[in-house]
Amino acid sequence: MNDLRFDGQVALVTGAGRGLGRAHARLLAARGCTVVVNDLGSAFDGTGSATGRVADEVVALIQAEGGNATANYDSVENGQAIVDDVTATHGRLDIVINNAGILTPEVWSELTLESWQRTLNVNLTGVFSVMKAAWPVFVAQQYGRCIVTSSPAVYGAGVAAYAASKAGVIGLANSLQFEAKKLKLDIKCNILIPPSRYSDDSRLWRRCGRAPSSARQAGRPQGASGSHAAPVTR
Amino acid sequence: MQRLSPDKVSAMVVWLAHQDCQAEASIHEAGGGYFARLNWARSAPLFATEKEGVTEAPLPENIRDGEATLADFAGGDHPISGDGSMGAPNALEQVFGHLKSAPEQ
Repeated sequence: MNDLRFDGQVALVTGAGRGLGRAHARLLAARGCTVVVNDLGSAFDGTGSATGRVADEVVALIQAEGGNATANYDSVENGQAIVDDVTATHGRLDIVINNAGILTPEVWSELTLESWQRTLNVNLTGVFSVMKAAWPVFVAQQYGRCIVTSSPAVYGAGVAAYAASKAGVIGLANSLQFEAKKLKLDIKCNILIPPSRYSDDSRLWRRCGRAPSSARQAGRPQGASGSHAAPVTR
Repeated sequence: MQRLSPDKVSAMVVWLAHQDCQAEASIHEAGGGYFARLNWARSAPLFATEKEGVTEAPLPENIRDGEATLADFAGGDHPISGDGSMGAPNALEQVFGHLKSAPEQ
């Protein structure tokens, strides 16, 4: 069985400071890929200070494992800045893993327009922004691989804004694949549905749909905060 | 919960990112060492555009009475994402063929 290698290729993994993105970045780097670890460093619901610290930690980890990685701290809402950084630093961009995302665990009755829009801005428009910037690079190279991260939330899981954003990326990826086929280029866009529950973020998901009303009545905060150790960034 | 750790998902991502992978607009579930591919599924087509030789607008009752057809996925097909044809060449051909064969009003 010959190993799948990525020597000489460059991958951008958004939201790679934690959780799934971090794991994707490490495995790509272990297979010879140069990886740009993008992470704003904000909390899981998109709030909090953007320090970039988590991206630096993953870069250091990859380098300690013998891989090649650099950090980028821009928001996926500014995809051009991320892609410009990738191409300026590494000269090419072969793979974009759209993994960054936020989750604000309001139940439907508590979901506000502001929260809805913030979720759509990061999870859906963020993919638009990154791929809009990456696309000309793919076309010039006549090659590219794009992966978007959807969610089992699209089947219905009590987080309407998140689910809508994660259903949206499916239509976006399908449309990008249509564009690539039209151009007859070796550009592939595919969709990943990772588990909704892993590590300790089940606590957070329980709050979305299954939190006992007693917990809410007790004044438990409903907005996510930095106190969550849950790797929902994906 | 360790069984659902993030590193169990990355194998799928890395394969989809490889130049040998020819998948297009595929949807894959991945977690805990479990992998599956999702398809669109379209039921057998329900035609309700004519009655006793006269073409007319479908009625809600046609839909109600067509439940068995609409639940028949064995008689349907699987639209393909990203191919630009609404994924439904067979069904559309059937619709157009059906309309062509229907008498003009």
